[in-house]
Order: sequence, then structure tokens, then C-alpha cells
Amino acid sequence: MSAQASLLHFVVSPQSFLSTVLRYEYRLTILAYTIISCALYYGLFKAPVDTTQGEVYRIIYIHVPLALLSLLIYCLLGACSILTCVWSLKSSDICATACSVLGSMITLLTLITGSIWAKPTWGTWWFWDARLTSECVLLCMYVSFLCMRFASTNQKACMFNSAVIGCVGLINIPIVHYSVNWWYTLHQGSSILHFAKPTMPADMLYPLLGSILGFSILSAVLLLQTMQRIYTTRQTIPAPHGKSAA
Amino acid sequence: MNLTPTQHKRLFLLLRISIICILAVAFFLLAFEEGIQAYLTPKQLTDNPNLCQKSSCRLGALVKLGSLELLHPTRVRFIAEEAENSKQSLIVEYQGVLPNLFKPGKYMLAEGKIEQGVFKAQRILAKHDEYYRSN
Repeated sequence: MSAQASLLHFVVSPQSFLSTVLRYEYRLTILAYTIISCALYYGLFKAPVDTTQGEVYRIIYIHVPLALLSLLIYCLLGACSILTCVWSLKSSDICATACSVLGSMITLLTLITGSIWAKPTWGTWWFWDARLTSECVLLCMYVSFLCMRFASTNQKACMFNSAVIGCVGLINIPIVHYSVNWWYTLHQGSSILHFAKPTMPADMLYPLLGSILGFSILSAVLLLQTMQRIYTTRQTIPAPHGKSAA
Repeated sequence: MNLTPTQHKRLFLLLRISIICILAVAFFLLAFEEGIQAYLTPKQLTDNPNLCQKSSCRLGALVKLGSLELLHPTRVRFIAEEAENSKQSLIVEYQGVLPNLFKPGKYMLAEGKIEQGVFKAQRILAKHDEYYRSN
């Protein structure tokens, strides 16, 4: 199925799309966990020690994939929110809601792993520089989307208002990404997400790329499962006021 | 693409709102640029020392190689320079525990005040770059 056709398929009939994709649920989950365990094994045990930071740099194999996904998932949430705002699509609303659930967890984990990395290297758990603050704002955007989405029983209003929050939060994405270039920050610059040579040798880089791939597949599966769960919940629980949800 | 009038209206409303939001955020960030910067450089402080005399500020600089001296078991003094062997430099004094990654020839971030031409740091953090090296 081409990408365009599958997108259309999803928009027209989320349920049949989800059940088609989730037929591969177990295989994809096993694939994701296999890739993650291989990448983490190579990253944590086989990759060479960094000369500046020592062993502590190995948290990069968890922190960077999570940080990357926190931004990617918000991009998806924002795109879905635009669709919801203009076309009031039920499927895009379900997708954005699932993104906000997963994304808020991933962003929280990014901040926690970042803190754990910061203490032994910088010497502090937290510092209000541009990168850390904007990532914190990203978490707030996810959480406010989630809160607004379930704020009342008026499904239509919740759907539209949360989509507006989702659109507005998109402005934050370039700020998070370019904060380390635009301002002086305590956080270091980008290691892989830039148009230049990666800043590490190949035997450190490949486990990192593997870890990013594994975590991405895992998030995709989790996202689809969450969407399926939201979809079935909305089908089985009748919406108040005798109207169907959205 | 065929849009119904409502969708057309919503799309253009969204476009207008987003342009306004982007401009507002851009102006906000430009106006608060100094507050967003995590630190001042030695050049900014040597050019304009009163930035840091009354209230405390943060200095981000390279620790000059060979300049780190121990005044007392917990008290250190070193020279913070803009770049390697640059003329813009400041003497920093600090009493306390240094972070693990604090080393001469590496970047650090000090929080404190300038008193009689010396930067008295209250807190020192280490800054590392995005390069990872194996031997």
C-alpha cells in the first residue's frame, strides 16, 4: 500500500487501518525490543569510553533517542492538530491524543535522563538554559494538550480547543532544536541532528543510530496501540448528550 | 483541493493566528535575548565590567591551561579566557567543590560577582562540547 493510500485509508476508516497494522503488533514489538537490546548492549558494553566524560556519556544511548522522539512525536501531534482544526477529522484527533499521551511520557523521561547525565558532568541536576527551558515548555505543551482534550464532556469543544493548543505548540519545536545554536547554553550542541559529520567515531555512532531506530519502532507500535484503545473506548462508551463522539 | 466555506475560513484563521503567534514569539525572544543567554563571555565582561559588579552574573569561558592554582585546599584561582591564548581574560576565584569535568583547557561556567577586578564565583559548573572521542 502506498503511503498516500494508507493515509487516506486511515482517514476514511481508522478502525480497519488500525486492525490491519496491528496484525503485525507482536512482530513489530519483538523487532523493536531486539533492536533496542542489541543497540544498548553495544552502546553500554562494547562502545569505547569517551575520553572527556568517561563512562557516564553512555546515557546518550537512551537520552538522545528519547529527546529526538519527543520532538518528532510533537511534529506529528501538531500536524494532526492542524487537520483537526480545519477539517474536524476524527482520526486526526485520535492520533493527536495518542501522541500527547506517549509524547508527554517520553519528554518527561528525556528531562529525567538529561538530569541524570547533567549531575556528574556539569555538576548540577538542572540549569535554566535555553535548551532545558524549551524542552520543559514542550512538556507543558503536551500536558496542556492532554488536559484540554479531557477537560469536559463536550467532545467537540475539547477536540477543537486542544487542537488549537497543539498548533500553537508547534512554534516551540524549532526553538528546542535551534536553541543551542541561537543562544549561549550550558547544553552542548547537536551531535547527529545537523548537516555535518557526526561528532563521534563510528563505533560510538552505530549503536546510537540503532537505539534511535529501535525506540522509534517501539513508539510507533505504542502509538498505534494507544490509538486503537482510544478508538474502541469511544466506540463502546456512548458520548453524552446522545451524540456520537466528535 | 476542495474546501467548504467553513474549512476555508478555518484554514485562513489558522494561518493568520499562526503568523501572529510566530511574530509574537520571535519579538519576545529577541527582546529577552540577554536573559536567555546562559552566560556572558570574558570579552563582554572586560568591555563592560559594571554588568557584573552590583548583581551576580554568569561567566562562561575557557580555563586557561596551566593557570589553575590552589590557594588553600578548597580555594582555587584560575584565568578564564575567551578562547585559547586570547587577551580577553579574567581572574576567577572560587571556594568549594569543583565538578568532575572541570579541567584546564575546557570550558566552565561560573556564577558570581566581580570584586576589585576579580571574579568571585559562588558556583562553578563544567561545560562540555558535543564531540565524543575514543582513544
